[in-house]
Amino acid sequence: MNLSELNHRALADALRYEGLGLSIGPFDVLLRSRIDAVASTLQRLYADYPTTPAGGFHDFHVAVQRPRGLHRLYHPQALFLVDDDSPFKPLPLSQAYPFFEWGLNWCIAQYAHQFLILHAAVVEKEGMAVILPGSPGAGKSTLCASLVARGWRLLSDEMALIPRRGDALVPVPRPVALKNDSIDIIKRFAPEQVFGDSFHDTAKGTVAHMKPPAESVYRAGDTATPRLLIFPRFQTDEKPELRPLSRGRAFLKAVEYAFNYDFLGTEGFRRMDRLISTCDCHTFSYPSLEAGIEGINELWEGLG
Amino acid sequence: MSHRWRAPAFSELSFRDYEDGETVVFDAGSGSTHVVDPLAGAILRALAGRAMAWNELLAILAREGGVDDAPTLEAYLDSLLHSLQRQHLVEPAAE
Repeated sequence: MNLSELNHRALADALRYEGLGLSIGPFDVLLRSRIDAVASTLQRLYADYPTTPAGGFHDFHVAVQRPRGLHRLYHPQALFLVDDDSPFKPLPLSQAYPFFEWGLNWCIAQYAHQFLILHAAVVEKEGMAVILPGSPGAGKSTLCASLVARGWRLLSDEMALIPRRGDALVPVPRPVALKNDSIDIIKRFAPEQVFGDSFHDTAKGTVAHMKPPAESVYRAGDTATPRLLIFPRFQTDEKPELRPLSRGRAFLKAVEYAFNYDFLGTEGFRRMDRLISTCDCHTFSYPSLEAGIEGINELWEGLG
Repeated sequence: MSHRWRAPAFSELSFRDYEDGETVVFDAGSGSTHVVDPLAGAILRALAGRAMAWNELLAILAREGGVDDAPTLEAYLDSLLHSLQRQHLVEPAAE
């Protein structure tokens, strides 16, 4: 059953009482929340996701709830809980939904050490995946959203999951997190896409999420072979510039974007080598979405 | 410059040579990753087995580099060992 088959009341009740189980790529997540904004945003952005029985096994048991105490009466807040513990300080109640997304990112990065995890967007076409590692502000989510809006399959806008065996990347498609100017840029670029509400004054500025295409969610079990590793940089005042990167240099740069390379030790080194060995590696400065898409398409077509 | 060199205690190196002429070295002891040229890779591989004399390392460089210009090789080996020492990949050994 998909989440879209639940009406708002059933969804809100599931979140409020036994929890809503969601299958998100390789992870089953049980979420509880009594906050209406969480239910309504989930209904919009996670409509195509399979639900899982609340009594079954879940990788992560999380909740977004109002903290107890008088404080909540004059400064309404939200807490993110993992196994009933709160690893973070509360945020304003208006940020409850993005808190779920950030908290789930944290859970995966913190606990999913069956994967080597890179901070990267990943998109795929015809079985060949493009990995776009990037620091905040590099434009990876914006480029990812625009590629997805032009037909690429979304594997993730946040994490490349590299498993212990095999060369393929494991998808974890989630709503694409857009920030500040990127929100309106993508809304203008792809008005047919579905967007969640904008959340203002967060630690990252204004954030909004783009719903992943249904096909990306339905194909969350289809792995993809990594073929391009591209370090993007959005530079409005420069011409597009693609530069090949040696595998050694690409290796070092990719390590900078890995969440758990150090934790995995020699195993992390081996997995990173497998990734680098299957990819053509480049740096890419692009001044506009059109130039970004064109550059990625050119490289992809050159793979043969 | 010391006459004998070795890998630091607790270092545990893994190597990957790429066809574009770079070697990536991972030290499980420190958790650090480095990119070196193939000659440095050859020196590190040799020292991973045992401590070696400077002359032995020079012979490895001559063989791997295909160079027999002694002054050039000697200067290069000194510079290479200095660089690898700064990266905590080699250290002087007792005579």
